[in-house]
Amino acid sequence: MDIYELNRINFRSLLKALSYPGDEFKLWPVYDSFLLAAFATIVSPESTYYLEDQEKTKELAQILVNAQPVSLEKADYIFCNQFQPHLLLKAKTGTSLYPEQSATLFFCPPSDLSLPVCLKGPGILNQKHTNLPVSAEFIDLFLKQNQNFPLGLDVFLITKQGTVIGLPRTIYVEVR
Amino acid sequence: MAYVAAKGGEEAISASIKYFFKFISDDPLIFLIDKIMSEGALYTEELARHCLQICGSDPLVAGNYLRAQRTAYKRVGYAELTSLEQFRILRRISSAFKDIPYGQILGPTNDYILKILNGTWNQTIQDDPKIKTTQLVQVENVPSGVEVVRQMGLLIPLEAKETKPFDITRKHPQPPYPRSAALQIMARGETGGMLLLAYTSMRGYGDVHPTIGDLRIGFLGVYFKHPLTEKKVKIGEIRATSCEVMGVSKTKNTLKFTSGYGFCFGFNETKAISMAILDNALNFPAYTVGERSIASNPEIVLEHIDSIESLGFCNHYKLPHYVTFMADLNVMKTNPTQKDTSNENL
Amino acid sequence: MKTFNFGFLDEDAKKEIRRSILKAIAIPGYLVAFASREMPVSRGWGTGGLQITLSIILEKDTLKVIDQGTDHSVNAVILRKFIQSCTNCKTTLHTDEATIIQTRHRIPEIPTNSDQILVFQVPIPDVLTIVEPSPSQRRILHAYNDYSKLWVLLYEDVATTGESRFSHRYPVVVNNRYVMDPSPIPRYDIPKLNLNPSLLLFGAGREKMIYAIPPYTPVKPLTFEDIPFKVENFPGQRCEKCGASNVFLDLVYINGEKHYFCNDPDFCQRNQQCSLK
Repeated sequence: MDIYELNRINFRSLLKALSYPGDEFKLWPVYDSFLLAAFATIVSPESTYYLEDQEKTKELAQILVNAQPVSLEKADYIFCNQFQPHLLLKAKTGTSLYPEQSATLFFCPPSDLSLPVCLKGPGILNQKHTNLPVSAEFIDLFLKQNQNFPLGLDVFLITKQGTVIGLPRTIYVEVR
Repeated sequence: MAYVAAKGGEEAISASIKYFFKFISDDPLIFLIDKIMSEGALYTEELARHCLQICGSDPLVAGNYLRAQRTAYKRVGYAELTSLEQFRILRRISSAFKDIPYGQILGPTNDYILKILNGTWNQTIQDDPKIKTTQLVQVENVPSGVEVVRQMGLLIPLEAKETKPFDITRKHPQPPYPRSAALQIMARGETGGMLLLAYTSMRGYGDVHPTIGDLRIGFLGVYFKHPLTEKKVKIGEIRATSCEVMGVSKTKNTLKFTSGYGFCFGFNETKAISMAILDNALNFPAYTVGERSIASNPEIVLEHIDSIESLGFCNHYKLPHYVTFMADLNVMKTNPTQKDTSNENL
Repeated sequence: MKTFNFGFLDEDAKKEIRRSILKAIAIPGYLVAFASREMPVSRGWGTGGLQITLSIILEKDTLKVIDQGTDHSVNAVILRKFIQSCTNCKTTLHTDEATIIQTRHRIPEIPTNSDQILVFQVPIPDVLTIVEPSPSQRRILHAYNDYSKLWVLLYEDVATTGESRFSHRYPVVVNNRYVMDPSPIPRYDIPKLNLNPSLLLFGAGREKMIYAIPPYTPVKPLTFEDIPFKVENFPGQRCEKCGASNVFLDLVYINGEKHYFCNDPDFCQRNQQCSLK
């Protein structure tokens, strides 16, 4: 598959993930990286990003898309090949006039994280009991940054199996 | 007959597209000529083509030539009254109803043509021998698509305040502008300017989104009463466009439809639709954003859409203004300490 | 069509649209501005919906395109053909077979599910346009959750005529926050927006805005507590082809006589098949 085909298939997964939070959707890797796959679908030269990963991946990212790597505070899109909840604190949450000028974060949590949660909000019929590959600390930070809707952050979790889970700022997460 | 026509949509569209390409291959300048005749306010294809040639195909300047030519002719009289039912229709659509008496006659239009610079897409339709364009009948005596709504009693009628039409070429109208004067000014108005003003109405500086009840292009016979025999004689035929739109307004605390009419020489749908929207806006001022409305203000619409006037004045700034400018310089020199009042209230 | 990209738009254009769509889903009902490319179809004829569809569609998708309810109108036919020609997707007239349904001014009668996406074509995206022509002012009103001008308009209508003027584009509040223009769908279709299992995407190409209602999101029309929301009804009328009475009907004049048919031809056909069994 060429990169454009990968991009559009992967984008559908991101789209579904954000629309149906908590459900997992398959990603196809780009240069053996699921994080780069997400990167390639949405980052274009006009967007700014922050990438925490191996040097090799950072170079590939720059080759894939000639976009601008910037500081964490300024980035529209934040990609992290690990699970670093504290990044949520520095990411930009938008303004009331322009709430969309807020960051979207992509994390790659380890396989051993599995927190039982209850999800409520747009994308969920009534409520959903499921397990998310996150920590309780992450939930606290996520809810804190999203308490002043429409300001907030949107998060995608990319599992080691190469699936993606979406958490829009509208989702309410309760630890069970 | 009628409902099935809607299902035959794809066939009708292909035929319309093929017909359009044939139509313009017969005369690739047709829409430009029609624009010039309409804005020049003189129906003469021969002279319009000539004007275009001698000015390097600048449509506004060509219109100026035609308008000037008008001045050289003696007024013989007025043509006989006509109506949109007199159209020999080449194309007629109504957006208000899925189907109407006589159906939706697509005719030649580029509406359904993809604006794609790729030979194969449009070429395929042009070359397809299965698409027939031969059975085009030019129907006459077709009532407006708005008639149905009039008969339902849901259209607010406009008061007929004039007994005979104003003639803007003999006398320039002053406010309050009679409707016939407004319509004449718009019928010869510049397409782009009228489109701009109508667009403000569509986008929120006025009540939005009127519905096209009847849009038609075709041929209109011009009749004249012979001075000696006093009989009605057909002196020729013009291409013309007519458009009736419907808006919504409140009258006596009920919601009803309003109407607006657009008409111009030649085939120019954009202009006729814009004119109809402006006529509607002028007669039924916006009832939501009244004071912010642009197109409802006749002093804005009627004084600024004549291309000959605006073209002339815009370009007149190229004339020497040395004296006026010198006068400005003098004022500035003699009053160097004019108080800057902008920071007073900080 | 080999000379064009998949989906006609270049990849960067698609990515910008994708980013806008994701933000729109995260902020339900909020208008996300996007660059909006010019398309081979004229502005006002569905370029917004078209750009969204082209940015999300895959070869394996099955596309349905409707205009005012029908697959056969000029707008629907051209869009469907164009999208298919530059994506090689499958197309269908049946709602339940489609994975993407692009629509102008109607929601299909047959309910859609979580495997389907609706893409709405929108002429005027901002519901506040009718009371505030200035876009910068509107942005401030949305930010402050200040829809008082709209409420005043609704009140005046009801107080003077007993009825709201909004036959279509009835303002709705999404997820208890943003008031949104649902596109010119009739009132009849408004209840379908509430808690819909499908993702609903809205594209205004000329006005350069994208917005969304995520699945299972509460959407309520703006009404006064003591005045129930009325939908269109066609008292005593049934579709002449299938007999359905609780659907949105087309009024067609044939030889000067009034006739009523289902607006949604797929629904009508299914109904006819059911009654034959």
